[in-house]
Amino acid sequence: MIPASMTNNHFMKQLLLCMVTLLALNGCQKVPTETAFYHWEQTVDLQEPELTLLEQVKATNLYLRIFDIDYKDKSKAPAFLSLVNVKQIPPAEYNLIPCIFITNRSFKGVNYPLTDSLARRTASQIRHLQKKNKLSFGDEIQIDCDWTPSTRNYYFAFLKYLRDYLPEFTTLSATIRLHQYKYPKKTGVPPIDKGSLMLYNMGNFEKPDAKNAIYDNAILKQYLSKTQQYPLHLDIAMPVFNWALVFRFGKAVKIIHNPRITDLKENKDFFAHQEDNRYKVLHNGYWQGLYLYKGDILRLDQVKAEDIEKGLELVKKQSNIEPQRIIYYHLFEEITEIYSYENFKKFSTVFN
Amino acid sequence: MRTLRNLALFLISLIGYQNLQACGGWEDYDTYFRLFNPGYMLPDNQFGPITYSDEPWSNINSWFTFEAQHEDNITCWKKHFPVSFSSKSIQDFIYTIEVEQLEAAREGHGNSSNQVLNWVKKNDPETLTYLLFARSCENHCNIEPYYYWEEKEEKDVPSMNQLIETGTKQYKQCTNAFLKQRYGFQLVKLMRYAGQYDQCLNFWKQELQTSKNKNLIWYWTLDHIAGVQLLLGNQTEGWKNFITVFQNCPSKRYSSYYSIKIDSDEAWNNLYNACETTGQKETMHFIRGSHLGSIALSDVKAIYELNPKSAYLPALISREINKMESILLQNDPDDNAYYQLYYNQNVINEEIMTYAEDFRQFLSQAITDTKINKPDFWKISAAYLSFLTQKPDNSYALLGTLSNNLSAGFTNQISILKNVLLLTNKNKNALARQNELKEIWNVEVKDFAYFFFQHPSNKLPFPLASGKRMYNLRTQLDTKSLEALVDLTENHTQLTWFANYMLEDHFLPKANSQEQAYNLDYLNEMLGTSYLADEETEKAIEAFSRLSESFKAQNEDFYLDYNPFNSVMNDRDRSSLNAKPYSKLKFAKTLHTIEQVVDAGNPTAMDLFLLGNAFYNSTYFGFAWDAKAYYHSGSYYTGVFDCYMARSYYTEAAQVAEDREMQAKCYYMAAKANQNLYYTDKVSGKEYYWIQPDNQDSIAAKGNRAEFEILQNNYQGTEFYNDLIEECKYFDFYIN
Repeated sequence: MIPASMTNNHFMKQLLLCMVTLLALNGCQKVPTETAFYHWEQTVDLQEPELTLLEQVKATNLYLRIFDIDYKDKSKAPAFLSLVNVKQIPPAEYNLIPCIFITNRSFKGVNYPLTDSLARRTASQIRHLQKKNKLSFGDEIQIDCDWTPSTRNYYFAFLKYLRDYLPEFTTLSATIRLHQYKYPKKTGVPPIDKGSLMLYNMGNFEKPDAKNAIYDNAILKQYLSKTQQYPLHLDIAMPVFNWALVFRFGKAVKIIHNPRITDLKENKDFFAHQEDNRYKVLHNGYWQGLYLYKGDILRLDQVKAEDIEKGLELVKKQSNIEPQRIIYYHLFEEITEIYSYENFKKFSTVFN
Repeated sequence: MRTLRNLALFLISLIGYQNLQACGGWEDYDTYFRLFNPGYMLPDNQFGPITYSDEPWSNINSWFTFEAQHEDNITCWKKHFPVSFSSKSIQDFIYTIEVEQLEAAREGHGNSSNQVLNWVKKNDPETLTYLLFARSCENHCNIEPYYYWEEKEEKDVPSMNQLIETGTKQYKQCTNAFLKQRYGFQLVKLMRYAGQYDQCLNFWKQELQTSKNKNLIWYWTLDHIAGVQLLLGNQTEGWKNFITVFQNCPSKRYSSYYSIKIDSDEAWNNLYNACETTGQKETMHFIRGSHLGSIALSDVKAIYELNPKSAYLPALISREINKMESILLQNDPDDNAYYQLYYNQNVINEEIMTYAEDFRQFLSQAITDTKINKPDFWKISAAYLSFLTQKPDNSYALLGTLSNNLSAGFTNQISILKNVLLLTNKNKNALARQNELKEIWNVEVKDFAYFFFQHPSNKLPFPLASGKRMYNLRTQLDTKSLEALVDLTENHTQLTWFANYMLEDHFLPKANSQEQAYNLDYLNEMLGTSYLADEETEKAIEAFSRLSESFKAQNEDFYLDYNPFNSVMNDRDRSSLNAKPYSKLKFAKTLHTIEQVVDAGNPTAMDLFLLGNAFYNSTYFGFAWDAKAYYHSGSYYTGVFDCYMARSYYTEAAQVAEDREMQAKCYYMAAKANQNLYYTDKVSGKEYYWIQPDNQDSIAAKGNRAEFEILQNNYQGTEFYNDLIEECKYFDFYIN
């Protein structure tokens, strides 16, 4: 039985209106921007600080580099290098998105049959690694390549072939550099479903007097545009890493990833602190696997948390980019020594 | 020329990127002057692959070639056979003959065209048995795909173990020392790839290590043993053995070089202390000193302390000098530390200057100590470093101490050095230096000489020091430069020897003083064309009139394909034109005549229309573009591309014309010019390429469809109007 009051037309109209309003409100509600991380190290063995960070910032998507494609010493054609070594499978709650880094030179001097062949082999290598390491990938795959005008056609063809060879991945994404975002007509837009706009590697490596080659909000500002709409959906990738650039004879000759900062600051026998983020090598010797020479200058590049926050605000204000994900590059054991959980939480609030 | 055009296009394409710095987008290269030639200094350099190059380490690969390994192996096999066989026969026998054929031969069946196989079949079945075993091993040991498209096979360890068992029996039964050693090599390799590391090391120690015959195969085996030791975590022993392989086995230098990856002071010290010979220690320093990005002086000094006669020293010294050159002698004056110090007393890279000086002092000391091998190499190297560090007196002094019997390579290097010392000699004025170079000229210093003399103090007349070449002028005409070149060519006897050389090399089509007349004609033809582009018609007539009849008879550039005063409705359709050579002189003269009529006042519509045609056709868009340019790009505007004058004359002609058909025609031609103006204005210059297809409405909105509007409003019903709708899709689109 329907209560008598329910048969009242006025009441029904009000109820209907209320439901429509609720539905509409629900439809308009902004989907929160997710937090994700790149895992770019060769060995997958997430440690407690990394797992805690992922949990704290509610990151469920992990972009996992699984191999590189480049010319090897002896190879006459691009080869699969630095294959991922899974020591410990990441917990099942994480959506693993395989990433492949391909050097631009891999697409030089090739032709379409070779590109097709590379895509076919890449697909089979991905499946092989997935099976071998008992990894469970999600429905997205990401390709990272800094293509140039001379390689664009083959790189784009590679992406198309790869999509055909990997039907199990319904989303094909790729990294987009800032210059590619700024000049889509000149650089072309890759045939993918969505991109990850890399907001780092902005500075000039060659300039010893530059402050930071990883990130600079002033440079970022030059690239962002309120009027221009990139033809693809873009997530954004933010830098949360550091490196030490080794300058020798005024030129950057090496990069030391994850430098031991305490060593730089405290090993006074080997390093002399100069101004800002520069350290001078006092005598020849090995450090973090590299042979350094007396007089070498190490410049420690890292991005301040407030600059990242400011950068995210710039993206929000000054561009048409509406990211579904902010992907941090990259996850490593010592990451929380540079950025706290609170930092990451603060970053998340910019878009949410 | 095509390459240069492509280069120009590529450079232009970069312009848009230059203000922004984020990664990617272009590939740039540092270029520098390489005046110290390792080919001359180290003609038989066994360590050639470590030579400094623009692409670091690409040359190291030359230490790894299957061919080199095969050659060494074939040489060994040649010695094994008591009869003489060609290398090709042996190569086929070892590497290419099918296994089935070998098996048939072992069974006494089959015939082969291979002499070795036929001989072995009758006289040496043991070799045949070994080769079949070796082939079986290959299937298991070369499982890494060489190309990425090859299928990677999984290891078949049980089969490998089976093969190890078989091989061990055959090894024990084998009585031939040559084959026995090879069985040992195959077994070590198999055990390694089967993961039987301990078994492998034991077998090596018991059976092979102490062999007195330390030949190619012994070192190839040691190469695998060193790899096994690394796999077992015994880095010091593994690296030490790799050092031994590097020292003694050129065909395995590649793998040994890259396998020694010392990453800490502790690892270095352990290995250093484990070395049994100074040669091993020298090798350690050599490998570290030749690594990418190294600063080798400390390692060079260490080798020198160990053994002043070490063969590694010349290779490292040569590499290091080339490396210093690559920084000191950049081809951009702003980045060239030598140039900056020489002309501006400006030290732009103190570190490299200090290093070069330290290196020079070390070489000088070593020369004084007289403990070294090949002192001439050291003296020439030190003399060259003295040049780089701007101590020319030291250079000359060292050159004066060289021995009398110098190799051809050394002589060439000295010649280069003497040239650069003369052209940078501060004791002589620039003109004297430019003349004296003639006596000792070495063409290998040409580019550096051009670069060095471009500084104004050297008084090279314009445009010799402008950095331009003839191809620049052909791509983009420059009247000032061409006028100067005509003048220089006419008065070449007043130039220094070097200025003359440069004039010929950079600008004259025929580098031969006997061809001055042709060169002058060539330059005058270009100058006339440049005047046409500048709308200096009288000067163009003058320049073209100077051309000799013989030049005019053979030079195609002087003629246009069509009469430039004709018009076409569609620029791309030239079918209505009559192809007939039309000289630029005739064009200039006719143009001048009509211009005079117009200047005199009261020109007819036809006068104005013809002028409009002449101006329109000789722009980038017209069929006579080559009247005012030599290069027509398909990607960006080249030559004359401004249609303003053409539009003005057409519009004026339309206004003067009394005939409606003529008026319509003039307005249409003005419309074409106006549309081109839209595009050229839009790119504001010619530094852009690939204009995106435009919305026709935006052309109208900008006012560049004014003549279409006039045609639509006033000339419907004319014959020309009706033809136009058929022929011109733009107009058809506009009115519909």
